[in-house]
Amino acid sequence: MATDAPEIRVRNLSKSFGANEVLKGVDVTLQAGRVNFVIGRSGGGKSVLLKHLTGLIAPDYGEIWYGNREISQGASKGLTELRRKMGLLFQEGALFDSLTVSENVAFPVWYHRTMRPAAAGKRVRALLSELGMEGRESARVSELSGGERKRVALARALIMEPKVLFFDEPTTGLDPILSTQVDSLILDTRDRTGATCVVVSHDIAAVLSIADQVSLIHEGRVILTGTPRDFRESRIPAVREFISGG
Amino acid sequence: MSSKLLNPIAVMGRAALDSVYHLGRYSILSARAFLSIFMPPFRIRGYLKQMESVGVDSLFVVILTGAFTGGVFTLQIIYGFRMFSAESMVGPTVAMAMTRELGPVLTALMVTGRVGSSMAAELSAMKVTEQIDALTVMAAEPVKYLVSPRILAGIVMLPLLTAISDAVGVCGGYVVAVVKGLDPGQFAGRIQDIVKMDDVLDGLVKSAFFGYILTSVGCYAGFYCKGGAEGVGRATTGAVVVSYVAILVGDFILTAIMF
Repeated sequence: MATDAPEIRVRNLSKSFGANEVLKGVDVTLQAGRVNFVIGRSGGGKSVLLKHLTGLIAPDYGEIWYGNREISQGASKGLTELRRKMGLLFQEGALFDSLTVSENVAFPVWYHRTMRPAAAGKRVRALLSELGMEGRESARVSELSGGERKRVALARALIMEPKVLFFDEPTTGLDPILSTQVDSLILDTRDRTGATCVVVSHDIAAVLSIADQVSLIHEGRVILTGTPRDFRESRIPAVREFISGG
Repeated sequence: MSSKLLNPIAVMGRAALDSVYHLGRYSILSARAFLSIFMPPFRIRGYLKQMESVGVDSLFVVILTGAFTGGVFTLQIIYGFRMFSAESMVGPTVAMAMTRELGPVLTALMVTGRVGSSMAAELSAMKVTEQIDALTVMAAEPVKYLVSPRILAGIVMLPLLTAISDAVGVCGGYVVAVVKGLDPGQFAGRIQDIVKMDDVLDGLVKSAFFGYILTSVGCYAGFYCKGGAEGVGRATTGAVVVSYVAILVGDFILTAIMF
């Protein structure tokens, strides 16, 4: 489908923390308007890559391109503008404890003043209802279960109708029914908004069912990028090992 | 034997480098936060909320501290002054001590214990649960949103609390002096002659500096906290200790400059 969401190109991205070299020249292109999964073993550098993609940390070397805009040089006006078109679902939600559910979801539009309060309230209620959280608008974050937190965080990530949406382990800690709902929501978001979706996950079932593209990070490098079918049929030992679980 | 004992020069060198690193990062954060106060958008509700937390919520403890400080100070000096028949100087001495020194410093120390520590704990909890990263990704400028209102609240509310502490301290001294047999007129009579407006104002200026120090140090400790629950505890303790030392050192420097 036609989309104004950007393609994300990562070139030779390297990052070390002290003596620990986490990323060793990552090269990957994440397709515009598609669901791109980045998978790999724990500690393999997926979350570090995600933090680079959102500009939370700067690389030692390498480049990250959003369309024709390069962001790896750290904070800049361009990056701030780009972030207004980004949504990120954190693994643990990262909701603001001091706010209610609806205040959390409305925070981005309240902060950037992109909607009138009445319109924002209507949109918050619609999103929460879509995610099965109707009637919980006034609840405090401390009163929510893990799954509820994740859904509220997802609503917050969606409210600005982002062009790029990042998901950090979106289904971890959710029951199978909710996991399927979240997977459907990712697909629905892609279809409805045309956003570039980047999902960091271990969830093989989701990879095989909803991914448009899969990239496997192994020992700090992307060793495979392709369709779920390419992934399933790969003869690369590390890929086979990942699929079979050892 | 500990490696620290075996290689003291390396330990001192590392400590010196760490200090310079933290001082540099603290200066950048606090300067950015201070300058952001004057840049739009102005979120008045956020500023007022922090002013309530720093000022209104600290009122009781500051009044209590001020009253007892003035009272104890009067108890300490009244006997000595009587020996020299200088009872009329008890009131001015208490007022001078409260406005120049005890009011600003003790208020700052009490507010550090109550507010500086809670700022460090709150921001470090936000840091370890990725709430600060979430603000960054939402292009919500966490320094302006979280740090600037706290620093402004410190700068504005500390002088107000100090003024209250000064007044309550003098009243506490008055009560103790009267109970100890001093004539009320004798206590209050010469305060106006001896304590100048500049003494009061200089004390309030000092307290604004202390407000800046205790809030910026608390925010810095929280903002750059590392680790989980242990990191939160370390940040909170560190913020209080560093603020106390910085306030006392700052007090010495400001006093040397002002008086």
